[in-house]
Amino acid sequence: MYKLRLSFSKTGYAKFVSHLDLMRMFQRVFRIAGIEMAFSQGFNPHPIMSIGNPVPTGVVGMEEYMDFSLKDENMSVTEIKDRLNAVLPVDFKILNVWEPVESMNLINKAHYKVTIKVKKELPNLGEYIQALKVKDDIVVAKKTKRSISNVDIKPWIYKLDLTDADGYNFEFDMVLSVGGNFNLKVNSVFDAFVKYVPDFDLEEYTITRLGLFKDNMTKIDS
Amino acid sequence: MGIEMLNKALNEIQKPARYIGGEINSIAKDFAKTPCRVAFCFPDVYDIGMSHLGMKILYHMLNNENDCLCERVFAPWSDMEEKMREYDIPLYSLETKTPVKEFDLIGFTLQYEMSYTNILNMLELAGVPLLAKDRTDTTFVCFGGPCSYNCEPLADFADFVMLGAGEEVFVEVKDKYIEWKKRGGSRLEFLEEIARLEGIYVPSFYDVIYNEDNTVKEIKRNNENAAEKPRKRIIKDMDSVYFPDRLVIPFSEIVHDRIPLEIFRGCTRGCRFCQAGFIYRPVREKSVEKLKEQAIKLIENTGYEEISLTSLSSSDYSEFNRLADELLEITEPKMVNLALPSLRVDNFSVDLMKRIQKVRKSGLTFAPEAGTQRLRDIINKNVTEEQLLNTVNIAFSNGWSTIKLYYMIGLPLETMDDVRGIADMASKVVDVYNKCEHKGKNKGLKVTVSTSTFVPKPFTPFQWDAQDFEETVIEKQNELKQTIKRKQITYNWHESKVSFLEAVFARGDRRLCNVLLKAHEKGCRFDSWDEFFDYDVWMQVFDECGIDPHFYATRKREFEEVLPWSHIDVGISEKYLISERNKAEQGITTRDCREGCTGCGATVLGGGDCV
Repeated sequence: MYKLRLSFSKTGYAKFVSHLDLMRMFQRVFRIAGIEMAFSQGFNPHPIMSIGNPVPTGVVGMEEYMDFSLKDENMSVTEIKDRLNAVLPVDFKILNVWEPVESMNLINKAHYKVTIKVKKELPNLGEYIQALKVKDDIVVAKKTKRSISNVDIKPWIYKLDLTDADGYNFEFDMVLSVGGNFNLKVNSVFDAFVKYVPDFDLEEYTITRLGLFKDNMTKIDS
Repeated sequence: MGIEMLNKALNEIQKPARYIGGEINSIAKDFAKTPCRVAFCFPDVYDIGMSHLGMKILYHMLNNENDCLCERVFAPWSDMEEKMREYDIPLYSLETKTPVKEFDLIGFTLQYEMSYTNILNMLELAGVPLLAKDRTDTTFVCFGGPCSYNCEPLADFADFVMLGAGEEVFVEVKDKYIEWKKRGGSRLEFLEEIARLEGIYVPSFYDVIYNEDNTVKEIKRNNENAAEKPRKRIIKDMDSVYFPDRLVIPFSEIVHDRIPLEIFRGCTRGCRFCQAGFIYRPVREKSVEKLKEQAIKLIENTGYEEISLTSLSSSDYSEFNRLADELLEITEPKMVNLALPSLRVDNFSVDLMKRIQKVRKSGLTFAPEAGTQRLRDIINKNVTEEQLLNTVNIAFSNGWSTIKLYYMIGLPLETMDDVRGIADMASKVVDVYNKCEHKGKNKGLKVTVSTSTFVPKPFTPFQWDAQDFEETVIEKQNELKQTIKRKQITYNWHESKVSFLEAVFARGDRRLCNVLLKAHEKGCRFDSWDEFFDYDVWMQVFDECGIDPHFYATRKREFEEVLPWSHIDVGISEKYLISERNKAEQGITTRDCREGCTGCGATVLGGGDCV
């Protein structure tokens, strides 16, 4: 069995492909590309592949990771990459394939570029963001399957910078917690804006996840 | 507002992957530079439409042509439709996100009557005038598919209709269109030109005159370019006709997410209730060699885990065992499952069963259609109880314990004894299981009996028959519920209100165009979905239009009546249908036409294995 890791991007309308759909697509892409995946043992064998921190549906992913295993080692990583790219739909691209060194569990930070458009003009949004950043806590409602509970998301926001603004359109640079400790979605930050910024009324947004990082903001296996 | 709002809309709805295109093997050509652009519209949601074989064939075939492109369009689900209307997003194609009204040919496939309101809704969302007479630009709306043999209820909305197999005629229409557009002629000129092609029907070239009792008096041709009786097109040689070597692989899950391998067209059985059995005549098979070649390429190019043989009755394929064996040699090493739907009770092979079992053991489904031999003879379903019981015995001996049995209620000449016969037959299946010595030990037996309500269809020997009234159907369903006593048997039945509407539109005439328009205005859509179907609204619409739906569904016609589809030629002679109806009355069966020609008339089409 040959354990490998790949990084890929998911852009354009492909951002609307859900995690499960994406996994199914990759299985078929491997088959079409003629790359034989290793299968799990047991009653219902399935190809061995996993995405540690799936990018949410609707979010562009510029550098995502997937671990997978092949049946044997007869293909170079370059060939694997080229074969996959030849089959993948236009909005997906394999950036790199390599033998993993570190555990994917080390990833705990996600870097986002977020652009939003609001319905009512907000000339002072920057000031409200500043105020948010010095607050002791930022409490938002978090929905689970069973209940709604209040959660302080402040400790899980590592960066929240307003990088562009014209009163209606804003661009943010964010680093948020991801993975086992706390999975903070950009939409929860929007919830905080709704709660703490007067007249905040979201019209439209696009979220791009630029990359995933370890605690010290370095990339995995780097 | 407009298509640029798509991102916002997709952020706010369920299952956005239905609306994005860009799947593996989808084809986005240069829209501006391609002379003929076809929007292939399926009037139901993506998950259903993407499972349809005809669309797969024509999509890849048209995109294979240098001067043509084909893009897919599906009906948006209600949440998406709401957003599209709110943000003024026009109906668009998945490949290049081009508004549908910018296409040259907008084609809808008519797979079932209950999708008709979706067609009107999609045209409205596209901003295309609903009525053919209101269209003035260079865009034409056409229909094709099984319901197009009687598409009179849609006549006012169609510029033209393609009758029969589309593989050849679509290319001819495309060529004519490109010439016509270059020349800059009138819409009428284009329609006159294509009306001369075999397989093209232009409804506006025919006038329908009614009698005082609302039956059709006469269907008169009003344009000499049109055929007296437009005839359906068939593909004569299935080995040389185009078949795609790749398929669009959806991101999201669809109803039939697998490779459909079409093994033949047509059916030789002649079951008298079955429209497909008549309209797809004659039988034309692909060779085993061709099928293997296609299977290998499709598996390579799609990565699919399952391949399914499609036809009206797979085990009737003349070299079926050889085909199954040789396909299994291809699929087994690749861990691809071979699915064999449409098997018949009377020629099911034990060996074959054991071989499929190696890959996967699912439940077995059989369709005896009627509960007594008397009624099975009437409908010419030449399957005996003994054959069914033998087959299930073999199945039980090989470890199967889940059996599904399909029947119809409301068949012509049916009595309560026939209805009770269904329970009797199912009960005998249970007896066979109890007596079977080698059955699997773990699971208990599960027999599911399903009944649907019979819908008389055009171009069948029962096209003159009345559908049962709803009350009668319910009475029969209740009788069956009471007769089924054994706990191993589960009974499922279909709501007959939908079947009633289906019967209205299946044998409808042009006066129903107005009903469809009104129903559309009142918001009817997705009528084949329980959560949308609103019977009361439909009844209100009929009332407002002054049309009695029972005139179409539950009225028995005389052989002499001019039927609304009598000007369409599917190759089956009316004389033959009348003789079949008379034989039904007397309980006389008709042999399978593989055993000798039964004289249906399809030889005039000049192809197939019967000439």
